[in-house]
Amino acid sequence: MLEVNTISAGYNHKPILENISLQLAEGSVLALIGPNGSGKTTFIRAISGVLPLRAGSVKVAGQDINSISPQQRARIIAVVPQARSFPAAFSAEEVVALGRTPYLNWLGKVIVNDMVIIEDALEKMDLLALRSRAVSELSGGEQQRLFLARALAQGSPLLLMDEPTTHLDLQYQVSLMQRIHQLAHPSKEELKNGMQPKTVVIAIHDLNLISRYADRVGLLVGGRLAALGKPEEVINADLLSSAYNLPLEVIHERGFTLVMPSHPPERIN
Amino acid sequence: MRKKNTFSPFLILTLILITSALLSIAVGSVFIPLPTLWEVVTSALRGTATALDADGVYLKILGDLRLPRMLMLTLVGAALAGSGGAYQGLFRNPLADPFLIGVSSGAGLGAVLAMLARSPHTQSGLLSVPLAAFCGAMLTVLIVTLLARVGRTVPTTNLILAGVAVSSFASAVTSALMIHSTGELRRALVWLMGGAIMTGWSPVLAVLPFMLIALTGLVLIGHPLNVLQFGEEQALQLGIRVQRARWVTIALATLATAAAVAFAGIIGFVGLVVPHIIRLLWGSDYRRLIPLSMLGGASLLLLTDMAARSLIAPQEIPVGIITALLGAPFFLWVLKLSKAQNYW
Repeated sequence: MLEVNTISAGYNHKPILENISLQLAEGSVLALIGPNGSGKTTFIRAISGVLPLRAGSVKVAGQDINSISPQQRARIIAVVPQARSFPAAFSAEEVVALGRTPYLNWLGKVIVNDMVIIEDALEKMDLLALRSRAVSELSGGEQQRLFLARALAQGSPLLLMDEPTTHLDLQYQVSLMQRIHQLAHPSKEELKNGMQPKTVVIAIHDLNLISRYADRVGLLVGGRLAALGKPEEVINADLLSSAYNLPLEVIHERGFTLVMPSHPPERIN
Repeated sequence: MRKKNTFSPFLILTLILITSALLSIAVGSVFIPLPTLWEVVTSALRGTATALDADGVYLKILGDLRLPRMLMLTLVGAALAGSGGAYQGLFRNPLADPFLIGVSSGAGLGAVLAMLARSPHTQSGLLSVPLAAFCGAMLTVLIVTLLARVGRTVPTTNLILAGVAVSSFASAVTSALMIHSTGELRRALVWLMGGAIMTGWSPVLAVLPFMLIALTGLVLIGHPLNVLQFGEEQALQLGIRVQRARWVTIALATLATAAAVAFAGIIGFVGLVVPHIIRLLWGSDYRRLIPLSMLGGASLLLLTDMAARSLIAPQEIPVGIITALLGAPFFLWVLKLSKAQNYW
């Protein structure tokens, strides 16, 4: 589904990403982890086609994303942005409806088929009751669901998310990760109803959540892919300690995998 | 963007516009009562004379003066308010107005230059001021956008800053020219205050093609402007060709503004305030905001022009002064009334 071939990218004269290659199969969740400044956001921007590549190529569903129009790209890649820049006065439903943009002409006229998809996206994200509320009146968790619903309305096979759980409390973090997992792994019933499993790339800081909800984990350090594999392979004390420049321990307890700093920080009295 | 009823705002504003237009041709130094107006117009259309207008004075006032002036004001008001709405959406800035990126200062410089040239009072000579203003406006915006360009993109901040800088420069040149031209000073000053509405049919015909293109275009770009409200990156990720949408919007809004300014002088406030009033009342879906702003802008300008002509008749106050005098309190009243917190 997603093929990233030796890409390099950066801003002005500053290279950020170097020689990154990875492949992701349909219906899987890739969690991108790494310290601040390691290039997670740049990677998301580069594979969404917003940031031009210096070298390499990105293919989604067999198409080179930099040789197709923004409209065609928006049909195969949907991005849930990190910086939530939105018009405060738009209603939830109107925001989700704009997810249909890649299928509309300049006038933006939606047809019945679009409305069905918008309705479905609102329902999947439990937003039906909030549909006519202004975006600015929604809580952080609701806004995050709203932007995920807009991305779903795009009907793309690939979803990119940049730190969607930031600013969310624990309940919303878990609920959001569950939803993301379900999108990549639909139930038998959903598959029977024609739902295509989504492929998801998610940049995230929470190392404890990903071991439960991600299928693959990529560790970015200094713009390079330091490790890529199953969660149990990458969530590894040695790898993470050197990546984060901090002694870390990985604790396996009652089926959970927890990452904690080795030494409790000294209390300041 | 919340109100569902799309029918009534259009109906309300169309009725207001029709009323304003009728008042605008009835009121003036000679008041023509509506029944007389009706009688004169219908009999003229039938090709017969009417006892109410035996010497044909009313018909002459209507046909030669008030009707073309009314049409000109309608177009100018629609252009200013429509492009104001488009600029606010494009720059995502509530303070953006049609003059933001140098249209007014460029037009002012062009107009003052043409006045200094003391063009003869022939038909083409009279049109030289608006044409020079139009060229000045378009040229200034071109210079501003070229200066603000970085590679193939034009960052919003650069555009606004370049606009402010170039505008200041052009305004300074205009002021310097005006100091050395005592005789033309008053005329130029009136022009800069929006008191230069060209009357007669030839200016209306001259401005019409530009207005038709620009106004139609502005009505059609509502959807891309809606998507641009999420910022350029998200708009691109939603499949909008951001740079193209931006260029088209700038070109259309500049064309509308330059045409308006060229034939009416610099009328402030309409382009800034009308879109906000519409937004407060009926939400910020640009597919509706822009056409509704046009209807509102045209009505506002017709009404203020009526006031400008009658307040100290037979003298005329530049309409730009009245738009601000009446528009500002009205806007504040709507702002207070709506209690909207997040309407922008």
